[in-house]
Amino acid sequence: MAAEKLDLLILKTLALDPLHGYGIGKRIEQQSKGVFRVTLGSLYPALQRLEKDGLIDAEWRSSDNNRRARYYRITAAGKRRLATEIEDWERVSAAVTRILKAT
Amino acid sequence: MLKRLGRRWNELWHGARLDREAQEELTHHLELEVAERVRAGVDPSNARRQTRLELGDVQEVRERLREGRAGFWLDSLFKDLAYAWRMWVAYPLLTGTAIFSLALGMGANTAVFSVMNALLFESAPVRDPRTLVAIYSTSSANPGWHQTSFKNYEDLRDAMSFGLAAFAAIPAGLSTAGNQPEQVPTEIVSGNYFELLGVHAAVGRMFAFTAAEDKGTDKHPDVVISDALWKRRFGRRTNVMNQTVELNARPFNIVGVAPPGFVGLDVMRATEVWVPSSSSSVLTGVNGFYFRNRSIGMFDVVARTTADVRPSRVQSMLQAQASRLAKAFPQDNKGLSFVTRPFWQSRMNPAQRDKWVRAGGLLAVVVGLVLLIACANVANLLLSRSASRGREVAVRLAIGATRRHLVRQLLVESLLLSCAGAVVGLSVAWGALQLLTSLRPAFVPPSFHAQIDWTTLLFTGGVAFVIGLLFGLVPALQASRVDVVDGLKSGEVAQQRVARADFSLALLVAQSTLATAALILAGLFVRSLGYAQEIHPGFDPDRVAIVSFDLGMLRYDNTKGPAFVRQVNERMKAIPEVVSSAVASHVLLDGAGLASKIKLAGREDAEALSVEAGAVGLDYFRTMGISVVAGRSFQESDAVSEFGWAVVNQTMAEQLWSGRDAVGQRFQVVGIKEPYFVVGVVTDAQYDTLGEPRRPYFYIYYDQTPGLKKLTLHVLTTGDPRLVLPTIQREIQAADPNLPLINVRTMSEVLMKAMWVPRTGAALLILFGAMALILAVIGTYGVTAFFVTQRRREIGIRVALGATPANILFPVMRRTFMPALVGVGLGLAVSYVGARLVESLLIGVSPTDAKSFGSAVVVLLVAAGAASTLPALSAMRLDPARVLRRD
Repeated sequence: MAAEKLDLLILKTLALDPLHGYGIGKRIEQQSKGVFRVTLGSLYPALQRLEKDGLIDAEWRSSDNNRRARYYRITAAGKRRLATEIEDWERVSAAVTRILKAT
Repeated sequence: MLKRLGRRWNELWHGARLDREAQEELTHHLELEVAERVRAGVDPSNARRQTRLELGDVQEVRERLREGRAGFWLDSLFKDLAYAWRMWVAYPLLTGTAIFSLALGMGANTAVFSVMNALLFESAPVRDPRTLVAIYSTSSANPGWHQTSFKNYEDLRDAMSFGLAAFAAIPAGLSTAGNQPEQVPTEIVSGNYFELLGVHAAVGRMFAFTAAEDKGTDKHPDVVISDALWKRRFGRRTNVMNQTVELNARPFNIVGVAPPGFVGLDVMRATEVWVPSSSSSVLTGVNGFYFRNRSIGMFDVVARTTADVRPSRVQSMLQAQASRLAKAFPQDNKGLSFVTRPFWQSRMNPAQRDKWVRAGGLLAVVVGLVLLIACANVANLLLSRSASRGREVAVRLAIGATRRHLVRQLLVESLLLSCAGAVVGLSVAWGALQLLTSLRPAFVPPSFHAQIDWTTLLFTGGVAFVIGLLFGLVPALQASRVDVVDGLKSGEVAQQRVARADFSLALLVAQSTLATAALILAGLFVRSLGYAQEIHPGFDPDRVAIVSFDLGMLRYDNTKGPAFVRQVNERMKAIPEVVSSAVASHVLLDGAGLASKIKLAGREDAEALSVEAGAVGLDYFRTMGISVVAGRSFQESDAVSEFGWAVVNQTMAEQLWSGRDAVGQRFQVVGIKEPYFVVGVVTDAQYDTLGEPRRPYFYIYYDQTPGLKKLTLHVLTTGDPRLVLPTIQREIQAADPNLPLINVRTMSEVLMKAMWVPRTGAALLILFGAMALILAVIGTYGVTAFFVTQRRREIGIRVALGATPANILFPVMRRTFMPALVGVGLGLAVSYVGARLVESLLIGVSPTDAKSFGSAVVVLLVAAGAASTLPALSAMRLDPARVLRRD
């Protein structure tokens, strides 16, 4: 999947709850009903990128099974970017749908 | 924003920890996935395998994350540098040879650059040098860049909207408190000189006069001295202000000291005293020549334009003035026009500068060649080494290094080599510059300091970078093209070897070509030098001693002067070792004579001919060994005459009165009312420079021009003139103890000095030619040695099977001697074509001189032959059994 779309999905996922990397990947998989399967090589560089741009924050927390894990959460800037991206996406997909539906 | 910076800072310092954390995170992610699959009922080992296949490889992702962090580049660089250092230690001989070659090449380049930079491009410490322009006079009859007469300068100054200043060098003797006068470089400058240039006094003040005051009024005998003079004569005492000094025995007032870096605008002259033109009449013997004659140009003119005035506009303004002046003074300014040159290009006489630029260009090319040979050397050495590193490279590729990374690391190695070579080279260059400053040959400006300034460092750094890439790139690309499987097995593959061999061959050819060219060039200059030493100067220098003095330094007027000369000549006659003596205004081959323009009687409307002249006393021709072929030499009665008497040389006689007898003919010197009559004709000589073409020249009688105060006594001796010099000096000083004697030497020394161009040129080119040869030999030897080492098994087998020395040698020689042969051939061709470019710097030798070409070829072939066979011979002496067992 294209890197920009993955960024969008990650932001949306984190907008609901803070999660660790595995959790994000699983959530996206579940919510897309298995259409999107996220690999290590696509997820973690995307997370690094988003963190570099200041759209998400990360910290180490001890997780359920007493291991520590790195939890990510969305920032205010991230929320703003998410809103913009969603708007764009809705506009573009509506236009595409219109064209495709035309007979 | 701050957070971002904080992050980057964190990444820089804690990169290792972040990397470990990423490892932890990624592994954890995989474990969670595996656990889920196991919960779903998949077998654990299958679950692990599936997960890895679907989710990807931890190490790969970890590497990608590492690249995304700040400081990654720097980190890799340090690792590469450490690796390069280990390589050096592993191959010390190769590293040493490489650095030595590079140091030689770079040191030579740096030294040449430093000198040329100081000579040709240095600006003077004046305000806004970019708005300064130098103005020269020229005419159709006398093309070139000439100085301007003061009268023309004044008219130009009055007419132009921007400021003009003028300066000229004059001979002067400075004395303080009645001590013996010392010759100091002195300049007469226009009143606005310092103001125009924006040079402020370090101590005291600068003189500044208006244009109206510029006309030799005697009213302001103020002078400015240089920092060097202040230090030397006055110990930097501040009470030097308003102290009186005597210049040419006239009193002057010191008003200020120039700042330490300022020594006038001419780079070849470190001026120590500046005299305003308004006081010039105070300086004896100078006035008429420098100021009264409109047709004789003695001043350099510099103009301060403003940034918005375009050069074309300046040129057209000057052109308009030139036409006006030509119309107003048709005799003096016939065909006059002005030309400009940017200030930085005019810090020395343009004709001289052009010669320097050409010589500098040649030198730069030669040292460039040496450097290229060094680079080819090092490239070849690196290539050879890559043969033995094939296995190492294969291993690194196998454990995950990218080829790009590998190439980058090898380039870091090369750049490190070139930097090391540059550093060592800098010390070599520094040493050479120190030597140059202490020897101070004629071409080094007096204010030259042997320093490696920022420009030079930048140059060296840039060159190091470029050549590091140059010789490192191909070996690096070559080395990284190792096939992993084959590399692990045997170190390299057949095609690789061939490719490497091809490039190595090409390098050997290139080396030989360049070395051949360098040697041929050296040979040409050596022959040129030999020829220069054979040129007959037209006079006999062997037994002539010369002593110069300036009567102007001590108030000798036009009657006392000739009287003194007569007295001196009498004293000379009394010395038993002296055959004859005479004074002259100029010393042949030591600077130009009097520039004059002449016209033939009855042909006043024709173009004036530019002819050089010299004033001489009785017995001059006898003393100098110049034969009189028609008429007679000067005699005493010639002094009292209303006409001028002249002795012309054969070329002048031919040019002006061909076919007819020159004796008795008449000609007119522009600017002098009385006509000149020819009394005799003498043989030609070399007047200004050695090797010059024949030109017209005439001699006038000193006693008729007693206004010339700067004279040189020429004395013909029976034996070695050097032995008689002390006696000569003593006798002159007996005649006048206060007269300082300048430049006591022999005519042979003058001739030696005139030959310094071919001498220095030959010396430098021999040096560089030798360097080129050494480097080429090292290169060939190194390559052959590695080549032989690669094949020692094969050689061992062949020797064991009974091969003769010839059988072994031939393949080796084909590999390393053939390229040398080809290179020599190419070198010959290149030199044949390119030699035309240096034709102007050679004396009497054709640029395609067979002997030079031939000897260079022989030397190179012998050297290459030895270098390419010796390693093979030593390899053959190895015990075959031991060699075979080792691999």
